[in-house]
Amino acid sequence: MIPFLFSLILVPFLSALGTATVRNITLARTISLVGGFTTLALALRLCAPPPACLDTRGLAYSVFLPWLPQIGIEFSLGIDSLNRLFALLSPFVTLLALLALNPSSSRWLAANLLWLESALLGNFCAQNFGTWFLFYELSLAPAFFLIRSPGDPNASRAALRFFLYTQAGGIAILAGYLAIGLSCGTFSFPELAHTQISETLNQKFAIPWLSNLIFWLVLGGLMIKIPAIPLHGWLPETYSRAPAVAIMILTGVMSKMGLYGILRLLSPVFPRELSQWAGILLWLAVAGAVFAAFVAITQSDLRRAFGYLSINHLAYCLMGIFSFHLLPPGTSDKTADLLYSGVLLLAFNHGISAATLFAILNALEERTAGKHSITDFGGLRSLAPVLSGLGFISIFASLGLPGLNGFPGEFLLFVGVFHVSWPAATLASLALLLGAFFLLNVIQRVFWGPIGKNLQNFPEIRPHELLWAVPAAAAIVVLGIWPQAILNLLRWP
Amino acid sequence: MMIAAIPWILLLSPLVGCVLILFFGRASKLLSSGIGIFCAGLSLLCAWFLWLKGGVVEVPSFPWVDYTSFGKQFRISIGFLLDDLSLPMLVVVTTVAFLVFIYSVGYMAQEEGYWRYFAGLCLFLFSMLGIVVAENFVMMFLFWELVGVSSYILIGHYFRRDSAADAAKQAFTVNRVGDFGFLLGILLIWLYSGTFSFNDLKGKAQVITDAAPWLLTTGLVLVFLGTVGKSAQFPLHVWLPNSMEGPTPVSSLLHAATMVAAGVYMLARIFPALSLSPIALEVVSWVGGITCFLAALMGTQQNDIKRILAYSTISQLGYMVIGISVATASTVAVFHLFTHAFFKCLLFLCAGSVIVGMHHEQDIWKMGSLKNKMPLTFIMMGIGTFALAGVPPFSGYFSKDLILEWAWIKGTPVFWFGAITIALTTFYIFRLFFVVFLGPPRSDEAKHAQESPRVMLLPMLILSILSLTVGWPFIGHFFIQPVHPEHVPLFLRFILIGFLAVGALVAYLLYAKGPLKDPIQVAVFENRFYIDNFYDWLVKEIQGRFAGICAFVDRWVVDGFVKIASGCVWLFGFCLRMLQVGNIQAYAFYFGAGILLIFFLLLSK
Repeated sequence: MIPFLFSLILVPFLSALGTATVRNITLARTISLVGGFTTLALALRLCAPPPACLDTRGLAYSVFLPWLPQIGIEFSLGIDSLNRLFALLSPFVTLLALLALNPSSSRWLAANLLWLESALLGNFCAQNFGTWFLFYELSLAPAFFLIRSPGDPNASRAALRFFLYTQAGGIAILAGYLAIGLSCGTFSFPELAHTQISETLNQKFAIPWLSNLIFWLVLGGLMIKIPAIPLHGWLPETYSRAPAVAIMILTGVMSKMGLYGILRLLSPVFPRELSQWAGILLWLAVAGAVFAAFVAITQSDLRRAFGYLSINHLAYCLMGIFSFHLLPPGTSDKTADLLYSGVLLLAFNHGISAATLFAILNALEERTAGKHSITDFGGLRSLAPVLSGLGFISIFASLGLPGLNGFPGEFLLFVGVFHVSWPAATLASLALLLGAFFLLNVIQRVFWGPIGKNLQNFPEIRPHELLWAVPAAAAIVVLGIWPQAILNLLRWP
Repeated sequence: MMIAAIPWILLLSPLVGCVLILFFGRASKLLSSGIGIFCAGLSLLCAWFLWLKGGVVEVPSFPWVDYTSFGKQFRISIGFLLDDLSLPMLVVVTTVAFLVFIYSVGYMAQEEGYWRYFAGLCLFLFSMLGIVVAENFVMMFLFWELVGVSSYILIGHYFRRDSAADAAKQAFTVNRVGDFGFLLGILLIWLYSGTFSFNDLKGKAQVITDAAPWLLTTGLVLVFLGTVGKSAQFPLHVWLPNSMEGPTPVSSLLHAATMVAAGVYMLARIFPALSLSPIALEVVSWVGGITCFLAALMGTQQNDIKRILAYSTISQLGYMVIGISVATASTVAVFHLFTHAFFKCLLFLCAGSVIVGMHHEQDIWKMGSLKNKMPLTFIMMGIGTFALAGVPPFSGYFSKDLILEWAWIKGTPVFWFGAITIALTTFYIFRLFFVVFLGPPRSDEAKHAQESPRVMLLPMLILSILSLTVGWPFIGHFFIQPVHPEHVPLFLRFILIGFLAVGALVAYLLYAKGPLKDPIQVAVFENRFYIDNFYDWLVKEIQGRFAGICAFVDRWVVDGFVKIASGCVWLFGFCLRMLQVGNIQAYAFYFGAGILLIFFLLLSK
């Protein structure tokens, strides 16, 4: 019997192999969809209460294989309350992306999506830094291929840029963690959480500022991945060049890798450094949120604009994480819970609504031969009411409308941040306002107003597009009305 | 058990209606309006039932966010608070809504998007009822925003028109500004009281104010910002006149009778806390006074029939806000809210009737002499006009004068704003009335205007009766028992009637003869004190510039660093490449030089 998490990672990987090798396009698509569905079906098991028998470290479904026992690197996977949501999110978003993929597009894209999904799942489930980093690096290749659509030199440049940035981040994280792991003798996350790493590091190397240096190295690497301002240099080019389905994964799941990384790699390991710097970092995140919202307003390219909006939302999550560490250490009061669940809830729901936005953008581009400027559209509501209705829902979800899925997380998060630092929360709400202003502009320019040029034959939503549209809309509405469904998943016995 | 279900039916039936219309409404007009009217009627019946039944109804609530499992209490629920404030409000809201639904059948008959209009109206009713029954701040905020969206959708009904799209966007954005204050206020109050619930607020507010009075004040002023946005108080009033881009029944229901009054309703909800903070009351009072006065001034020089009424709404909402701040009970303001809901709804429906009769002409200077063409509308508009102006014994007289009596008792200068506004109100509403219905017809449309169909006149008739009678003590007190101040001097009543008479007289002298264009022109009033222009400038110049700077920084500074970094790498590589000349002698030379250098370094130590 193959362990559960193995199969969760292997199913998408094998279907990626199958999709890439099969000649027949229809068969390839079938394989990819079956793979995507199976992965989601497997992952849904995570919704059930965890099995009674957790291992000694409190992990469910844990898998453990020795790898480099001499230095404490091992292949270890496991589910706990932190990664449970992310392990659910990636199969869902990937499946949406697979369904949104044009049936006639190359199987290469579908294969890479699945490969990426497998790597992301591995990354989220990893319980040892070695395993984490293995999957981190493994995810770069499919992402690179996804962005670099053949025949477009700009896309190749964007892909290269993405790769260099992320690789630089990866190296920084690796360097930092090698120092940590070697001085502590273990790379296992549950074990690292119980060691006084800062002291160990500083004593072992006799450099008083070493722990700070390493903290910033790892944080920088993870902030590239999110991306957080000012380390977002790869994003605009990538978002405007890559295929829209690829961005669905990039913004929906891959950005969460960075957030999750901070919660997994930094929070338990560097509580002292985090609370020391959290004040500055919180304001950096606030500034990032406001800045990204302002930049989004100026963009006429919808992809870039949604990209900056994504930065903006992820900056809220960062605000939540840093506020969490501004609380006096050791306290586990209401605010800590609020922030923790707010961050995870917002991250999860942002994954869904941002991916839906890009799926809609993908549909628009397919109908207009790849146009994605805000000025290329207009009056779509009279031409394609259902598609526009979907756009309306996902835009309002991004805008944080109560009743849709963006609001609950944002609300809990802002309640928490407000408790910790009301000036930060107040300033950040300026970003919320700007975001709303920008999104309403999108509605006005794209869906309302007079019908744009050359759009007379704009087709309404097609049956096969309903396959992703219906689940996405349902998730947005249901999770907005019933956020408790996700909050329940954060509980761990 | 059965009774506990009724509030849920009341709340959810419009939502069900909305969903049904979205799915099936496109099939036929009859079906959309049928579902809409049925669902609104169901809510109406439930509301009347609950109100007439009286007494406490225990309704199970639904946990929206529940943290009890974390070992700590953090629970936000969707539940009902049915008391002397919400029950009559439910009755008023559902009654007005039901009448507007019926009226819409006639008004929208020839319009596009019939089904989405009714779906939007149902969504609105659902969210509005949610605000009314909300038992806690968060639930109210949830529905508060939903109301904002339904208003956005309905203002943008004619979404192909850029002006409608702009107006919808403006309404939503301006409301959001207020809502942030609201949200921050909620959070601040929660932070120090630990409760979102309105019931607990009464007790907790005392605790906060004992600990730190400024805290409660700050929280309440922030919450009041929500009212400023939703109830279009100065300086966030700009969106309401523009929202007249929506269909007239929408203006009537949302932007006159119910939705904009939600802000006042919210103040009434938190009144127990509000009354503990004199400074917050002072702020509320002045904002109300300024709004009431300025909006009336702006209203005197508008030419669009709906915009005149819109400014009038802003001004009347100002009265309600004053009413909250001066009286010892919130019932005074709520009483005016109720009478205003009926007569302002009536005025708008009459305006809609005129607009349909005039083939969608809204400029009052193109109308005239309509009393012969539309006699029923003329009479009912007359009732609305008298009620708004506050002519005894119409309903507006009772509720508005009550507020001013309280203001007088309190001795605040805001009283004089309110009193002068009576003259202005009478002036602008009689100006509208005279120009539209008397005088010569000023266009071809006016010559050929026709009375509206019965389906529109019937709701107007019911509202006329209500506008006339609802102020009378034995009828009005059926809805609400406003508190009357003691020892009101008799001359006060004469002062107020005097202001009324002055306004009416000036309007009569200027407009009853039927001038072809406005004999007085005041650019400042007509241009609404240039406040709109100021906001345009703010958005375009300040926000636009700042966004431009951010984009520049993003493009050149953030990217610049990367370019410099990659440039350095490239330069380094370039230098190394210079060494790679591909010539064996050169490599031998480097090798020799390197050896020499090593020797030198070793020996020099």
